[in-house]
Formats: sequence, C-alpha cells, structure tokens
Amino acid sequence: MGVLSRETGLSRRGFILASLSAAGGLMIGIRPVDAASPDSAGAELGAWIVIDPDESVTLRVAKSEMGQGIFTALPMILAEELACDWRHVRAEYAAASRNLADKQIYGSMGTGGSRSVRGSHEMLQQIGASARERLIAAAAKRWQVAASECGAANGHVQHAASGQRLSYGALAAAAAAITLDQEPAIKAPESFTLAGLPLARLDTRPKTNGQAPFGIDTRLPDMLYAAVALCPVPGGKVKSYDGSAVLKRRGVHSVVPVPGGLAVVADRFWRAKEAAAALQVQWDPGQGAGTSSAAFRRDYRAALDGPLETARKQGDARATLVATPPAGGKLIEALYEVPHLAHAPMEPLNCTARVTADKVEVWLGTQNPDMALQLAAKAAGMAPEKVEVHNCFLGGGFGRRSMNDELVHAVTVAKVVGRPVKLIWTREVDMQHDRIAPRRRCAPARS
Amino acid sequence: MTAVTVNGQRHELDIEAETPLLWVLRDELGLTGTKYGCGIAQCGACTVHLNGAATRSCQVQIGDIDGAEILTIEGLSADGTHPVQRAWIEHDVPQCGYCQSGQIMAAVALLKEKPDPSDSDIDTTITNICRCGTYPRIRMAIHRAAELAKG
Repeated sequence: MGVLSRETGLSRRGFILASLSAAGGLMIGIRPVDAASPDSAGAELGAWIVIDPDESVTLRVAKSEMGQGIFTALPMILAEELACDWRHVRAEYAAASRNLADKQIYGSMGTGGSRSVRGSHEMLQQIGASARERLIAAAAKRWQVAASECGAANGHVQHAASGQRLSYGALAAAAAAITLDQEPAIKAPESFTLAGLPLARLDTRPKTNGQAPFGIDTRLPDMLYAAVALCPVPGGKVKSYDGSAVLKRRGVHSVVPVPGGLAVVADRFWRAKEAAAALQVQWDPGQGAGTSSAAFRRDYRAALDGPLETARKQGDARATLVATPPAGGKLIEALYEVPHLAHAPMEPLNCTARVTADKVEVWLGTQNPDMALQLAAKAAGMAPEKVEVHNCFLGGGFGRRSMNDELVHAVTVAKVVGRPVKLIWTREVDMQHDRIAPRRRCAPARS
Repeated sequence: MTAVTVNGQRHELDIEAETPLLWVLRDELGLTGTKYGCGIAQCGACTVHLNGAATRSCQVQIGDIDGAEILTIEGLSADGTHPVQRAWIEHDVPQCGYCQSGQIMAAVALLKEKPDPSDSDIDTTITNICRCGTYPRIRMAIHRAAELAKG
C-alpha cells in the first residue's frame, strides 16, 4: 500500500494496442496497464485501485483469469471493503513491470494450486479498507468534520449529521493525497455483504460475442506469424536443416533457430505452419533417444515389482482386511496406471512479441507474468526493466501456462526479424512438447 | 480469386485455394472470435455457419466454397443480444471462454433445426469440446434460449 500517486494505468499507446489486440474494439474490464500517463483523469489509490471522475472504479487483478473466475472474485473482495458501487467496477490486469519496479507490490503474480483467493484475500481486504478510509478522510476534511462521523457505502461518503454526501469520483483525487495514521481493521467474513454473493462474472459478455482477447487473438501493425518445428524427442536439437525450399514458398519470410528447433516466419500463420511441416530437418534426439511409452511402462512395472522403499508404515492393511473381512465383504485388489498426460489447454500455446532497441513487449496468456518478464528479458538480451508483459485471457491454463516456453520462442524470433511476431504452437506441437504430467503406477502394498 | 460473404460483407481473396476457412477468417479478415483449437475438426472451437449449417472451419478449404455465405460469432447479432447469447449470459456459461464462440454457433444451428431440443438432442448434436466442463450450463442455456426465441 503506502505510496500515493496520481499515476494511472492507461497510456494512449496501451489503449491503441489493446484495441488492436481485441480485434474490433476494447471490451469492458480488460486494459493493459502501461507506464504512468498524464492524459488520464483517474486517481490511483495505491497500486490496485483507480477511481475516475465518472465514478468508474478500476480494480487490478494480479492473478490470471483462466476460467476459474478470478477476474470477478478478487475485485469482489476489494470492493467488499472499498464499499464502491459494484455496477461501476471493472477489472484489469496488474502489470508485471509495475511489480518489478515497485518491489513486488502485487506479491507473487503466479496463479496455481487453487491459491488465489485463499492466498490474497486478507491483503486485498486491507487494500480496499485503506482506500475507503482515505476517501472518508478526504470528505471529512472537505466538510471540516471528524472522519469518525462519516461513513461510506455504494461509492459515496456521507455525513449523517449534516446530510452531506459526496461520490468517490469527486473525492478520489483528494483521497490519493492522504496518508492514514493507522491501517483500518478488516471485516470478518460473517459481515461480508458482497463477497460470497453469486454475482454474474465480469468477463461473461465478451466471452459470448467473440470480443474477449486471448493471447492468440493479438494483432499488431506490421506483424508476422511464426510456426515451429521442434525435435520430436524432447530435449533434442537440430543437427542440420535445409530451409531453401520453404523460403521459396509464398509469404515465407525466414527460418529462425529457437530452443529445441526452428521457427518458420511468414506473412500468414497458415503459410508458416505449412512451411514448418515441409522443412527438411535432421534431428539430434539427445538423451531421450530410444525412449517410448512401452519402455516407460515396462520400467515402471519393473520398479514396482522390485525392491521398494518404505516412506511410511502404519498398521498392515492387507493383513487386517484378510483377518477381519467386513460381513459379506470381498477383498478386491487393483493396480492403477496413469500414462504421461498433456495439459492440453483449449487455446494452443502462443505468444506475440515485439522487440525494439529499448523495449520488449509480449502478449500472451500466462500463469506467471513475473517469470514471463524475466524470460523475455533474457531471450531478448535486455534488462528486465525494459519488458512489458500484456497478459490476456487464458484459453485454459492447468499449469501449462506457468512455463512460458512459447514466449522464449516468440521473443527470440521477433528479435531476429525486427518486426512483431505472433508465434503459435500447433495442437500437434502443443501435445508433443507439453511439460507432461508424470506417469504413475500404484499397487496395493505387499505384505 | 475466391469470393465469400462473411457476416453480410463480400470479400474477394487472392489466396491459396487450400487455405482453411478458419485462417481466412482469423488472419485475412481479422475475425478472431472464431478459434483455433485442434486443426482437425475434433474440438469445434472453429465452428461457424457455412450456408446456414454449423461447420468446423478448420477443415473447409477456401477454394471449395467460392460464393459461400458465412456467419461468425461477430455477425450473430449487432449487440450481443441473440437469444442464445442472452441465455449464455443469464446462465454465466463461459469459464475460460475459449470454446464458447464455437459452442454458441453450434447451439444456434441446433435451435434452427429443432426449436425445442431435448437433452439428448443437445448431447448428440453439440459435440464441441469444453476443457473447463461447462456442459451442464450449456445445456441449461440452450433450453433457456429456446424459451427466449419463442418470446
């Protein structure tokens, strides 16, 4: 919380880019947070809350929306304490660049493990309550009354004794300049009036008319497209390749080495994808050479049949069941086996990148914007402070979008070609190069 | 040169005949509401209406549909108030939302054929994949859309 400033989220450039990425208009709630901008009228109350004179309240979300509803749930928690009018609330992503510059003001922006609400509700309540008290203090100061005589509800501060009332929009700029002597207490869940209600999600409407911007929908001026050909064996690399034939194809721009393989760049994705499939590549499969599902299955079975280590022993389930079977009971033993599994999010992995002399920008759906920023900096060979991550809606995450390997590909290619590049992994690449869930095999304990 | 009419607007395209309609919509025309999910007509994320029929656009080559009329999610209604969209909003159907353009276009086509579909009609006709598992709400919303369409 702490530092007060009047800087706010939306630069003119950010607005234009968002419009482009939404391909047909900016939708409510999704705005990229960019550098401070002098042309916005909104007042920022800490890093999380912007209140505009028109009463719109922008609440920042530092977790990724991938279907779990966090773009509504976390604003509800902020709004619970802020006492704003929910009808005027919009949500936008917090910026990883701000998190870097402002000493992790948003905490860890990683999303996973069903932790977002559990892990951040107390902090968000405190931020909402603090902003509310500053709005109250601003009103009390204007009315020359004690703040303790004022209350806040539905986006207004009122002073019951005098009947005076002011809206948050009218108070925000003054509130932004106020520092509290002490932080207010936060509500106990029993006294919540908003959080916990079955409200409509803020992101439903744009998800019913094709306007919700997913990473794969990003479109930038002068943008090229890229598809990748990766070594069929994970961990392998290119031994040699001949790109001369595909470079003669219509629209093909270049072939660029990326970690694990090659990217084919073209003026349209379909052309890039067809050319990548036609590329002549000799692979060095690396340490994974010769592995197969059948071999893994055999190894797992052998391991389970061989000597095992005991992690914990408590009683003897088998002996107990055999000695005292429940009436009419029958002892059933089964062996469970789960193969390697891909996360397979509906939206194949993709990232759009633009690398200029002094800035790296990436557009993607990521579960880990902090790490995305660091990886983009590394791939571009630039300082992390030069990177802007524009997080988008995620067409499913399931953990797969915590790794950002597609981002490394996109930034690598964009830097080489000197133009914005949208790089998409085909479904086939997505499945073949998933960070697959481990194979498992479980059997009842041997006596 | 291939000509198609998309959402009422005619486009003449100088493009390889084998280009899938999906990529024409997304990359040539900038209509990104139609999604790429699998590229082999299995998932349904790319469903559009081709001459009125729900069609998986990733497996339709542009050269084969010269003169066709195509409707995408962007053209379904001017303001997002088609009965199916209204029902979708009422039931808060989408989660991640990626498959929902395709689900909605499939549902609209079903309701044209069967204005009052049974659960079994829905289950057998709407075979689009939703990785979030919104199927129960999709079913409820289709029944609701059937009511809304009757007025």
